[in-house]
Amino acid sequence: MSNVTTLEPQRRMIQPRCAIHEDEGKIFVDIEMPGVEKDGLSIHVENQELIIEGKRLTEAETGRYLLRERRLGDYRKSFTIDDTVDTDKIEAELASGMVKLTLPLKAAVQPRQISIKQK
Amino acid sequence: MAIMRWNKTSLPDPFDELDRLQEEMNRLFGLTFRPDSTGIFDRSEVPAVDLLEEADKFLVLVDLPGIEKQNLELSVAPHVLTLRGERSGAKGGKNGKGHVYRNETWEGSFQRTISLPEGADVDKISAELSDGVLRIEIAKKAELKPRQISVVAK
Repeated sequence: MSNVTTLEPQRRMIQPRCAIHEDEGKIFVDIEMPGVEKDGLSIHVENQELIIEGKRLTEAETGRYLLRERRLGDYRKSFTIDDTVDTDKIEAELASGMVKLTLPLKAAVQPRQISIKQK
Repeated sequence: MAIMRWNKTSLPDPFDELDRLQEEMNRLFGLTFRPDSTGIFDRSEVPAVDLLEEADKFLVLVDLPGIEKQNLELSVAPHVLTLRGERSGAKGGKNGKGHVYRNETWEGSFQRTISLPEGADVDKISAELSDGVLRIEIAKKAELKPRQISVVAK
């Protein structure tokens, strides 16, 4: 199986949860990245791939764990995007642990209203 | 037969291996669309909580991405900490009516109760929400803090 995730022993990569929807010629991508500050977030487009990486810059806690449910590690999410997305106009916003991306679609692929002339 | 040296450092954590096995099973069952849940073993929608004991305090960390301070309610009884909150679904755009391609996030209200360990001083609690992580610090009662005892030589 080629798609088996290989895990680094030191740092785990977490696939964050996300929501994607389209509205009014834009695609909105919301990704959950609790604990990531602006400095730890990097978003780039590489060969039709949109890669969002979030690093937690806060240091690991030193205490003894009595309960441990949170998964610690860095976040990584990648999406394949096609020509319909205008990659120069991608906007990103980070607020309370949520990354909100706005991907505008190119005008050529958006539905267009055609006015009908009456003779 | 050659005798191989037991190289302990190169061995992965056995629990990592179990985690991976579970992830593999989840993938087989098609549960990877919700990567952060533990799949068929647990499908609850409550935020993940860490509880730590430090020398002079207890620390509670809760992952709450996308939740604003005004939608959170934290209350405490002698041994129980209750966290209530609500999250509205992430909706961009003007009316949120558009086409949804994928939604792994949840919306609605949740409640989480954490029983506090013996010695937590519920009168001294502070909570802070930043970057989607809630950090609650609960002081330890004085009698549980480590104390230095001076030795007097006679």
